[in-house]
Amino acid sequence: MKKGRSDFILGFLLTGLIVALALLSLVWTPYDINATDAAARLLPPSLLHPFGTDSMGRDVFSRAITGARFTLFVAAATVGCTTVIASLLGLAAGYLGGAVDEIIMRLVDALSSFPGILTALIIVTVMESGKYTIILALTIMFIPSFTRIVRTGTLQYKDADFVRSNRVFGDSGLRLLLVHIFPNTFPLLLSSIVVGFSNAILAESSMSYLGLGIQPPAPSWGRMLYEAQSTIFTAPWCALAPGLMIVVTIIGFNCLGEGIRKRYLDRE
Amino acid sequence: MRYLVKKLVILIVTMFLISLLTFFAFHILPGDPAQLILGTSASPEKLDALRAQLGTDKPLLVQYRNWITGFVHGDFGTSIRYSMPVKDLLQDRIPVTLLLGLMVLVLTIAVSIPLGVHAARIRGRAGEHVINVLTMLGISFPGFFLSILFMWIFGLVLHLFTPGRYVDLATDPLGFFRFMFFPALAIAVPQIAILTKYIRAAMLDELSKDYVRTARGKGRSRTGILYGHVLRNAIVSVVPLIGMMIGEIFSGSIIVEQVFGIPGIGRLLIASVTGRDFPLTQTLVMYVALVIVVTNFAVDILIQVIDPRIRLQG
Amino acid sequence: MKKKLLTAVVLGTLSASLAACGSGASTTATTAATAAAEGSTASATQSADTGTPAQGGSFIYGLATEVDNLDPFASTTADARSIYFNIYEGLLKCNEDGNFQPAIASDYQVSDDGLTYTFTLRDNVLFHNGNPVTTDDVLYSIQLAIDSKITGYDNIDTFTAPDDKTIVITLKTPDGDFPAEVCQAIVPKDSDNNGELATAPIGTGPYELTDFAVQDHLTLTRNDNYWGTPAYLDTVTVKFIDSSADLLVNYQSGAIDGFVANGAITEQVDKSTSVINVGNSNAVQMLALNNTAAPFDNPVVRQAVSYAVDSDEIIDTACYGYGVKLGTAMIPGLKDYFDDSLTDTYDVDDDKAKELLADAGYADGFTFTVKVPSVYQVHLDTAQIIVNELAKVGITMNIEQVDWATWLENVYTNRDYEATIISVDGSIASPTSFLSRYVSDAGNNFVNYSSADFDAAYESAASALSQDDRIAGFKKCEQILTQDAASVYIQDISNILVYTDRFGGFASYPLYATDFAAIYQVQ
Repeated sequence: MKKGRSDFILGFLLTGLIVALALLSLVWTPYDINATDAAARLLPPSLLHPFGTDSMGRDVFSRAITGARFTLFVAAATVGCTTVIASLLGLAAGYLGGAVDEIIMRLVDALSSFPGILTALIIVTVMESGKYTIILALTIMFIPSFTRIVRTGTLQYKDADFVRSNRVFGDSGLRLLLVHIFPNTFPLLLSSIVVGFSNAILAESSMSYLGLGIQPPAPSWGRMLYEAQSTIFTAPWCALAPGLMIVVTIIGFNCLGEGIRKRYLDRE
Repeated sequence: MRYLVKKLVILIVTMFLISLLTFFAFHILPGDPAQLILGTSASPEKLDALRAQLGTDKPLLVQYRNWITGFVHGDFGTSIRYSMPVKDLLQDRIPVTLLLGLMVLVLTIAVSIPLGVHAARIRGRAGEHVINVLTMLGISFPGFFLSILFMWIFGLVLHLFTPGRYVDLATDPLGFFRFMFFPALAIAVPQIAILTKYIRAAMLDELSKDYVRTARGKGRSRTGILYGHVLRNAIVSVVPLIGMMIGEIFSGSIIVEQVFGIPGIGRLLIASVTGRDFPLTQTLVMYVALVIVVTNFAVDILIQVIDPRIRLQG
Repeated sequence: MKKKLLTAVVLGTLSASLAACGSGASTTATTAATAAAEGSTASATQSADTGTPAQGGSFIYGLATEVDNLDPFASTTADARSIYFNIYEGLLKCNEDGNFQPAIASDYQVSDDGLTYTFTLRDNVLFHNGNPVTTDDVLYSIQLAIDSKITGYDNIDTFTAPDDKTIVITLKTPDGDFPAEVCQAIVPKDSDNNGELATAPIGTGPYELTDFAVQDHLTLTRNDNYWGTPAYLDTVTVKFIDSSADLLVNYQSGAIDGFVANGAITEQVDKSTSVINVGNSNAVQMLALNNTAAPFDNPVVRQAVSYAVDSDEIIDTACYGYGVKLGTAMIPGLKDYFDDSLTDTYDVDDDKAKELLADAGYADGFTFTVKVPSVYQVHLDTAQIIVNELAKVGITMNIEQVDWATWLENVYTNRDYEATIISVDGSIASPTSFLSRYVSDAGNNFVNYSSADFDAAYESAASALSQDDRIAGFKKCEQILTQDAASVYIQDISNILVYTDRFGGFASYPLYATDFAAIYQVQ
């Protein structure tokens, strides 16, 4: 049995389930996610409403799976943007070295001394709140760790034999960087990307919980949890449904990350 | 010594960059503090007078210089929303958040070390899987969800504490710790999970080293080796991680203070951000960043003291 | 510094009522027939007294918004005013029936032309700092009110103290609201030159502030030197709790003794140990439309939106039925002035709405953004319901949550918005505090409504000499507003005060006020 296989299986199962539900919500939800119905408020889970209804009579299941879509979109956009920007910064810092390295790394250090949530809070205050602001905020929050990883990888391969030999053959700096160095840093980066997904989901739901993320009536898990707090005694399902969706998604991505780490990175 | 000087220079440069980032981030913010203080019905003359008093009529660079000079001398400016010196606002809150952080740290270390060691000892057995599953769960629960669950289960169902009834350390120390235990636990859970994993890995790493075999060969007991050398070395190797945790713990406390209603730095910070009280936010951000940078610096130095070998890598 | 050019706005007259829904205002609101000559009166009184009052004890009151400024001359929230009602007093004071009774003044006379008011100061009224109230203090407070642009004070012509017990105020034009306006706080001379009262208030009321822990709580302690009937409780602690959900948790855990709840929360309270006191919140919840922002500059579009919004659905869904439908910019609490024939003018009619939209050239609908202050969950819930209602007629509404400071600055002051949802309450118990904001050049006309007809109607109603003319005049104003659909008037969300049955004596006012002096512990 290959290393980390069980992690992969569990990870794929859980993330696959969430992604499938998110995709399903694109074409079909059992109920209109915003349709309110005072007569059907706070119904417990049943066959008609698998996760019950909330205080305005909206179907929690429909909202929870649509929430998956919003949350995954934010996470994917964040990780994508971060990967691009951080790769450029990390490659530049690692390959060019010297002053460039010093400037980039000092900025990254300064940025990473702010707790991530603090950086996000500041950006959300400076800009108007909404989907794109939260993506920007989370991207800035993740840049330091990604940049460090790419830089470390670049440094590691800059003087590797195969890179040296290619340099002797006259490959340009850019070509060396993109064709020979960057792909090699990728396994390292891949595990960060997967873990980044779970961090982005955590951060997005925290911000939405504070009312600074995705705007209502779009169902975001954090926002749903916030709204469910007032009925936690009489209708705990309203809080448990989005909460457990978050947990399941994060476990899924963490398992994938663990699997990648065990298979490609652990050399023990 | 050269290492120390280099680290110190980096520390100062980082602090300078943090102050620049903080200051300029807040000066992109829309909103005129004078207007916010006086309300919308103030006359233009009154506004101008207050701007002069606050110094917000001066060029940005001058404002920056004044702010930094004030900060260094302990003058943090005046909160717009609460019309009182920021310093007075911070005085009561810093101890609350620091104590909360300390409780988290103690909890984390007190639980993770035995758990990590145990996980290393039972490697390959069923018990290890239980620990693995627990740590996986631990890092997967968002702080606010855990807080809500704790409040519901421990507060409203089991009545182990009274949600909302925060008590001052000075008025009722026992009540304070009883209340703070649950928010501290909510922040600590993911940290415990992470630290346990690292300690386990570090222990296994150490156990595979030559000196352990030598010691065993000399007939020393397994437990003696485990606690005498291996644990010590494993702990040394996770000290940098504990340094990094300080930032995480603070991030956690921002949200958890909000959910539990604890009057600490985190809650003040959220209120100042949403209320656009920028002298207050600016100071808080700067303060938090400094605490984190300085702690990490201290951890670096500590590692030097404990284990000078790492210097070679630095 | 663009704001420097802005017209001064008296924020004191606006506030957003707490996220509170309540029920049965119609059953509990009774109008006091004993109207004072000029004062409009109304009350939503419900006696929930049980048991005999005990002297002493303490009460912990939970408040979902944070009070950060207790300066009676500054722009403060309705919640701040409901608290400092216990700390400050004016020359006169509003009672439960909406009458204006002597307070710092022991007596007053009005001249026949309605222009000269002569107040006699009460003997031995002491400020919380121990000093007696003098004419100097009163003159200082009046000047401060004028400088702070408190409503009605711009109409003061002269104010003097002919002797050390008398204050004479002359007005430029007769003002039926003047007794209500002199309920404005009297404070010691030079005590508020730089807003010092914000955190250290000094008044003459039955309670004084003894502790103010920013963001956490404030403590009021009984004023034993009070000139009137002293309060029962030794101390009242007002705890600031971030959300209505947390209020419930705090109440269930015993951390607070009473709070203002919304419908959802009320349903979850243990009714066997709680008293639930329902009254009006005396605020107009509206979908405010910026009358100068396209397409809302077209009255037909505003009417279409009014037909599309279903107030009943909002009351049922967001407030569990605890609210009173309005249809116009007046509270039912001011019963004489409330024109209930307007309530059903825009009963929901999607076909009519579509027809009107087509007439206005928006057959395919349009898209706009509503900025909702995030502190008020009830307004956010309302917004989420309106999204669906408007979608049925092809209008897309996007919600943007904004924090309170941003709302005040961008929406209320700079009027940079398309639509917003807010509850507007009156600073004094008078129809003018609800209608004056629609006068074209009013500083607080944040919906940018402009109508020559309305201005003329308001002018004549406000200067009417007989009560009948005054009532007819203000009803005319309401009719014009409703016809023009200046905004969508939804409901008066009722105030539900929930408290444990260990306490009694809660009093309701036709104002946003919480009277702690009336509360007692049950023996």
